[in-house]
Amino acid sequence: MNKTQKGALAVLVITAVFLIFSATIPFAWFSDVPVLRILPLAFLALACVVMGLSIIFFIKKQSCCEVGFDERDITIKRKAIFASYIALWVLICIACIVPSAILGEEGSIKVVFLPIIIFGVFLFSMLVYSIAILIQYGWGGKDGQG
Amino acid sequence: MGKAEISNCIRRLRFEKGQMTQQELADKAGVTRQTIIAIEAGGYSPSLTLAFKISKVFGVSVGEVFQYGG
Repeated sequence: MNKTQKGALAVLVITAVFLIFSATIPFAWFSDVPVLRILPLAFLALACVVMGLSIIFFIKKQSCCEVGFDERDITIKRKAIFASYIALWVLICIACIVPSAILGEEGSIKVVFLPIIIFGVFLFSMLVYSIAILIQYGWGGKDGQG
Repeated sequence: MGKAEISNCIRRLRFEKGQMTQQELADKAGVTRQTIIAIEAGGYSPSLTLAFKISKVFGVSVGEVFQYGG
């Protein structure tokens, strides 16, 4: 597994944890159950632990003459960026249409939901980027023997 | 990534060059081992620069390493 794959895998895990964390916020917000109230904090702590572990994952040294990045990685990254860009626009469109479709033209939402929507859209975009990279590398499973 | 139209005989040339490993070839060509694996499997078509680098490692012409539509 090279640096790009490791990075994509780390971003995938961290993003997934953050998305779960974001999903638990409404439960904590409207719930009277004390356990549910600490759920977002638990996931935030988990995200921090995963981030710490991913740093250790990255530290692993490569030999001095081993190439870490080449033209294929650039091609893969370029395609993944394109996929995440498309996903970003699709999600922005969805984020614009869904609230008005649910609440109606005269409906209103709290201002606090705006950063959550924007943050969520960017998280999903990063998720698409990581998945696109991992798919193109074949989930790291096509590592043949020399 | 789909299968490339360019076929190659890198695997044969590696074994003819004293059982050269994919890692050795990758280091000499300045790419990762995964890229060599992908090229050998026909999953990735290298750039012209990389094709020349690989053929230079084997000391043969590009046409002897890569064949179009083969």
